[in-house]
Amino acid sequence: MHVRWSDPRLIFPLVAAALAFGLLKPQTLPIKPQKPVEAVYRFIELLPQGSGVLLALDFDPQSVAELRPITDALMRHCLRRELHVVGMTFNPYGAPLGQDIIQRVARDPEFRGKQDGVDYVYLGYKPGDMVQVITNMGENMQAAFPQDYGNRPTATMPIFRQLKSLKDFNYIVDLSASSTPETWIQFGSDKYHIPMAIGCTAIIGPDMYVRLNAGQINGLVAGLRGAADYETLLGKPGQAVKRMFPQSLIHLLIVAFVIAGNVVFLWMGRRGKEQKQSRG
Amino acid sequence: MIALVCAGVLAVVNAVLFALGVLPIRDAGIPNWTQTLVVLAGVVMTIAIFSFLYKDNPFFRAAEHLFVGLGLGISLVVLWYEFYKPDIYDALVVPAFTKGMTVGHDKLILLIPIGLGLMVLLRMSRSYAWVSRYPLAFLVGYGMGFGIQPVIHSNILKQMKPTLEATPMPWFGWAIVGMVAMLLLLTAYFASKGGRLATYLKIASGTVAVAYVIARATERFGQSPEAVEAFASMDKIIIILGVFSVLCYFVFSLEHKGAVGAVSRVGIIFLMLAFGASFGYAVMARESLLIGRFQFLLGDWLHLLR
Amino acid sequence: MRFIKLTIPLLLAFLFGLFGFGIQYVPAPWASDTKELIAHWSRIIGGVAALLGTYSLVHLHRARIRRRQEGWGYSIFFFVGLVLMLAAGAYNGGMWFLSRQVEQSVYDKLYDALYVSAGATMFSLLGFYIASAAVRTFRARSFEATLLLVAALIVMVGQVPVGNLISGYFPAVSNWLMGVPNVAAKRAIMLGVSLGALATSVRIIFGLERSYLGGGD
Repeated sequence: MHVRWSDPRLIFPLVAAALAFGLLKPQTLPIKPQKPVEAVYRFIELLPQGSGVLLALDFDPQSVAELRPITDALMRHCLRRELHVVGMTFNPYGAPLGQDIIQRVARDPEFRGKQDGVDYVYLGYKPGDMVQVITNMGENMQAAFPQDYGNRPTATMPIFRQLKSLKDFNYIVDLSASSTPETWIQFGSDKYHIPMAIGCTAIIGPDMYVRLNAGQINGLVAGLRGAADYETLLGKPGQAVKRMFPQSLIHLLIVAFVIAGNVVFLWMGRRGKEQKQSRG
Repeated sequence: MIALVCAGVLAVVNAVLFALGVLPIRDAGIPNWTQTLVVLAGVVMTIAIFSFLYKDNPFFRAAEHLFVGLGLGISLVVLWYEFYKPDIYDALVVPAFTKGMTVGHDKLILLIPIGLGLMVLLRMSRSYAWVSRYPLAFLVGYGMGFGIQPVIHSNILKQMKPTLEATPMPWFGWAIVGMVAMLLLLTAYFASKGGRLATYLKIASGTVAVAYVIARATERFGQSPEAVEAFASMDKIIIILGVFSVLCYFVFSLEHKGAVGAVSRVGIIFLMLAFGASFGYAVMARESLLIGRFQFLLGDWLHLLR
Repeated sequence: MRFIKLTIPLLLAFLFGLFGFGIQYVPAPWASDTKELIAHWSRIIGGVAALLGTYSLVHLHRARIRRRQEGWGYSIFFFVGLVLMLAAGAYNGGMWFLSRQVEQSVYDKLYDALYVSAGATMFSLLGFYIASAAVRTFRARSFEATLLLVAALIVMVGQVPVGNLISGYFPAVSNWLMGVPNVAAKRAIMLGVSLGALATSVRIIFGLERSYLGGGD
């Protein structure tokens, strides 16, 4: 059986082996947080107690590995700073996931005393055009979400005494793997002049730098590296920091393969030229 | 064959795990069968989908179709509890059929959008599909009109503002920028013609570009306050050059020859750097997802992780 | 009949388009109330119309089973998944579907066990394929390809903590690549796409673009 060095049957097991080794023999790598992540951290640190933060958990299980650690870290930070957190989603497949993430953090012994409906709430999903839902939220939060995810009426919730509409929020953070940040920026942040940050998968991270450069968002937490940076800033290394070692291994493996492949390619190209010259 | 192999491996490994006492999962020593079943079901789905790496097989196809069915079920359940129940059932049906309760005028008026929504469903009918055009005309027309101003404001004006903003720089800074821009444009212009001049220009441009990036990245040199301001200004100019040249590249109604061709070639350089950077991030994203799955298999299932 | 089937919808799209554009410039309270009302109605229309997708998918798989088309057996799994989730959601931890949604019910367990695992694994497959693709296709065949390759390698090393251990230049150059050439290219693309989207919006409002109305007349 002839196996080329670039055969997937060789590459797949090597990738799996590198990941398994990285997880089985964990190493703590020093992490230097990036500036866009620090910007989000600093902004939340400086928000006055009782400020409203909207977390739009616009992701589903496909992106949970990257966005769950980011959401976790942000939620922890907001609860530590005694901020009021309102979660919601435009992704119906992620609605139960958002509830799970928010409740797991809120039930941590560190946040004993935090109450659902008072300090935080998860509103769940609303169907329809995202633009119209955001516009609805911009005018009246309780009209947009008359009930939370557990079907409890929002009209009587203490958290909405001050947060009557989107305009009353001090920060919006969209956690997304798709194009929802664009809509949030256009119809939420820019329209109602609310500072905004984005937590996103690394796939759309490069596109969000454009918004960062234009000042439309004041911070960006992109991918697992962003989550690891945020956990480091919080002083609570979690899943993201643990995964940086296998991530590093796999990146180095791919880089090594690509360099080796190009060396072979260039050497073969040169040999081909020499053979041609000697023939001709 | 692959399906049998996967099933066999799963059966053997689970048997070993049960024999070693790793499974069932225990909470304070008491077996938690629900959690164990959740993990095992997750493992079966994970292995079924990973079996595609070898070859498409019935195990994978079954899992794929199950996934699609589950997704549709989830969307319907979420729609019921998040929309139909609170906004229609609790608001209209319950008061209408409960003694002592009436449906308010503000709720009765919701019958209009409900009716319009039902009109959209007529799209499934061959004879009455045209009825769905009315609510669609309202939704799409209003949505398009509503979106014009935010798109202009957020995607065009707010993006052009930092691109066209005045950049503070001393006169010699502008002189250097001018010379470098000339060098790049000449390189791009002569690159297609070939020859020794093109080679020398390419080497010169490459050296200038690499020297700039390294100087920018050198902490001691690049982080002093004066250097930070100067480099920020230079970066802004590079962005202006990049935006303009990439826009020029995408104007296909003009032939990419001469000066236009030179500017387009500079645009291609920016595009290649951007797509290379995007690919690097894409690798990071996909590998992160893979790490998550491996963590589940090695940790939650095999209990090999600390 | 063409007047009712086509002309009136196009006219409505035009009127509502102008209305949607103009209402944002009216500072009066009635404008704000109208926007809120339209937004609420749009949500409800969207929520009811979501059943259209359900019908399409169910009809597709039902037809496949009825006609015994190739792979019809797999469509049974589709219905198994659908019925399982609907049943669990309707059961609602014993409280049934007319009550509040119960937390940590069978529905949530099935969601975690089956859907989250399957969904996460589907996309993680790409982790293997992207590694394989990078190894097999990243070749320095030309100047442009070399630029792409070098940028990708620098970002791949610079974005992980080990990059900083190898050399501080990796994360610094990687951040510069993201913040400058990447921004320049993506901004140009965004400007082009936004102008195209604006043109499409105007074409829809003026009835030049009619694909959203569906086929027929």
